[in-house]
Amino acid sequence: MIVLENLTKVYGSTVAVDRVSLTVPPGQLLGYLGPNGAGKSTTVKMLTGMIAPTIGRAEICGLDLQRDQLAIKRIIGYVPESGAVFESLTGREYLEMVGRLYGLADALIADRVLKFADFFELGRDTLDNKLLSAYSKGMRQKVVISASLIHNPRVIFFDEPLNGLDASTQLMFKTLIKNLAAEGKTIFYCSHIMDVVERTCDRIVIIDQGRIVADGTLSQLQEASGEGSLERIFNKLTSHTDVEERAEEFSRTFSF
Amino acid sequence: MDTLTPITPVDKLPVDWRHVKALLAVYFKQDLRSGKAAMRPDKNQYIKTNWALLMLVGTYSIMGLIVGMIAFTGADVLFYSILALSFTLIVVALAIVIESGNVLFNESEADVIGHLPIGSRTIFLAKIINLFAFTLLLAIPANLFPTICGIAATRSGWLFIPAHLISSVAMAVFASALIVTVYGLLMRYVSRERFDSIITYCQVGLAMFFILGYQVMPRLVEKYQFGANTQLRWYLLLFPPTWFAGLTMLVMGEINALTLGLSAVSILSIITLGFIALRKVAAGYSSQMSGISADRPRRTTEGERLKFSQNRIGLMGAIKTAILRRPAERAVFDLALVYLKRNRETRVRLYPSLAYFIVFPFIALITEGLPDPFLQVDPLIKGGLSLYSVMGPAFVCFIGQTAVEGLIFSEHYRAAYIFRIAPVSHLGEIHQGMRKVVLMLIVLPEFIILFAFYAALWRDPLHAFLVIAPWIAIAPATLMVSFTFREVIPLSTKYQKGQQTSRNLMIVMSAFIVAIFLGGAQWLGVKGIIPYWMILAGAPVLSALLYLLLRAVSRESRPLPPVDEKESSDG
Repeated sequence: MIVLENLTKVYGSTVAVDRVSLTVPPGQLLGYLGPNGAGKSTTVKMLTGMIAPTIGRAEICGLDLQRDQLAIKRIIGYVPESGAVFESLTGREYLEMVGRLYGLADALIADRVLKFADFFELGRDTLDNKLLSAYSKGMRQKVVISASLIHNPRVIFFDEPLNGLDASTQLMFKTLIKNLAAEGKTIFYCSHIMDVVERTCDRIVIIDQGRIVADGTLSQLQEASGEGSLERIFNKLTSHTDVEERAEEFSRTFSF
Repeated sequence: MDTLTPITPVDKLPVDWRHVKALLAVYFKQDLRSGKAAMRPDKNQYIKTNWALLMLVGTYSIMGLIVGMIAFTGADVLFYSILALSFTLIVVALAIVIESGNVLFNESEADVIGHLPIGSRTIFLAKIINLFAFTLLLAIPANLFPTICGIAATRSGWLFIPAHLISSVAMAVFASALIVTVYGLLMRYVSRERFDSIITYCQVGLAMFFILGYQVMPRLVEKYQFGANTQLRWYLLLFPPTWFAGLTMLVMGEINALTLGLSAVSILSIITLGFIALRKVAAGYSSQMSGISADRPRRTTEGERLKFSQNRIGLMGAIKTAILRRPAERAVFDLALVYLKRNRETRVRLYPSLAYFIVFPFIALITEGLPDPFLQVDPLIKGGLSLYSVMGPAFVCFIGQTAVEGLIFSEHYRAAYIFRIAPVSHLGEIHQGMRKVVLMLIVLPEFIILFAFYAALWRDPLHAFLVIAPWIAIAPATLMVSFTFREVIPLSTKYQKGQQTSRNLMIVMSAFIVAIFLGGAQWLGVKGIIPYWMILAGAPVLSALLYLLLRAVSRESRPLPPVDEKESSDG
């Protein structure tokens, strides 16, 4: 369970996240949507303890974000938007390193690495001998996702996790997170890919300029906005109504 | 040797000065910014300045003042000029050896400009100009006081100011061109598989060459009292600063066969290096760069893999298990170990600094001998214990710090977010992992090399041990200094030009100061003024107290705090 109460992050005169309040019950798969710079990643970075909130509070599984930060870190997993890894390590070495940082026993790490390798179809030779710098973007993303799940977290934050994944892996991943949610894990899923959120998430929260502008199931959002698809709802709520006209007009300026 | 990288049409494009200008604007902005954003008290966001560069400028100005003082000792202007230009050479050359790797072998740059219609020669020229501007930024403050003070040298005058300015700029051009050409030729002719190893060995070699040249030549000048007469020894003619000192004399109006010859050699050397750089290296730069990036070793060797994974097997495994009790320590230790061994960026930046420890004992050996301090016939006359014998172990301690500082930077700095989200209970776990890898991989091996060197030289392992032992004892405390008052997260910061050089400079200065104090105590012990056993017993006690004190004031007992900057390096 995740509880946010007036969570706010201010950078100088810029309010990146503005009094966000939210409760995500266990087992829920929450889609957290917003245009670029809306404050999605900042919210997640606050919840994962990477950056400090300016004001407000948050709880994860009953633990206070500021008081019980270490206990929270033990039970959360995180896939960053950057998908950054230490590229001079092999895939196995990276996962072993992350496993150790979570205090897992070597035998358990080895066992889980094999399971992830099988699931994501990472060949043993690739995992053991190739440096991550030689992996394709998708392969690297598989390692990052594996690293976020290696300690079997209760709450998982995904920030654009499908970056670089091929269609079949995306399908596998979507099924995986649905099953993880069904097992009772809370999933906080940041994205601006409407289609995935529409099909996967139980509940959708849209933020714009740091504030929540919509919160509900897809049908509730459709009902409230009077729009059919999530894409149209999103554009309407984030004041991007004339996007098609603007694109057409802009393309005409290239007629040189 | 590998076959040459094929020259592509892009490589044949002529230099486009508009592109050069655009690239230089970007490079200079990158150099002067720290890469982080922060808030002013007035709440407006601003880009932090790269203070390392400014610190370097200030430090070199002060060091230049010390060099300038030599002019007031009655030194002849020719030899004063050689000394001042030697100083310029070492300042410029060492900075370029360390910093040029990040400029010339920047792999991430290929993703940004690799697809643009920019010719190889244009990119290479922009990089050379950028490096040269960096060298001038160091050479000008370094020569500020030597230029003014040079008027006071024997046979000098006001003309020394323009003459020395011209020759020191020419010296900086020579140093930049030499190193860039060496690296460029390596890129062109060394096989891609061996490039990473060769380039690091080459850097260590160049660093040692320049330090030795800088240290040995002035000592030879002093030893043979060249300041009192104007006769040059033949071997000084092999020393590049002598060529450029000839240029100084020529501009000052001293026209004779020697000054004409030396000036001709200096100008010809620059032309030759420039020709090789622009004709032989620049033409294929883009292709060679993409070649070494694309074909760099992407697989671990069998040895590397086994060493990494078999943590608990064999002697090394047993030692690691014993010293790395906490899992986070082990994770950090292994990560840093891999980067020190495999990552080119880390190696090219760090390895040149690792050689300093052997340089000073070696200089002493070839200039004044390095006798066994415990066997000196007349310690009162000879001084008992040469400062150079203690500079070696003093440097080992501080090279450890350099390594720690170097391990903070990485091109993969974004991946360091993992340390902020992992449940690491205390910052000390991360720090310990870094300290231990530096201790095991750098400090202890260097002490062993130094011990072997002294033991072989003095033919007495006990005496070698007695000289080194107090320094081994204080090594853990000196390593702790880097971790005091701040958090040190491995590979978490993007490298900015000048940072490694400024750290190295601080370390060299610290090593001198500490060597004078602790070496002074050792000197008293060797002379018998205080019993030597007190030095041996006192060093561990002092080290333990200092370690505990530094630990107490450090943040190690606390967990990693969240960051508050908009552009956190590890976010």
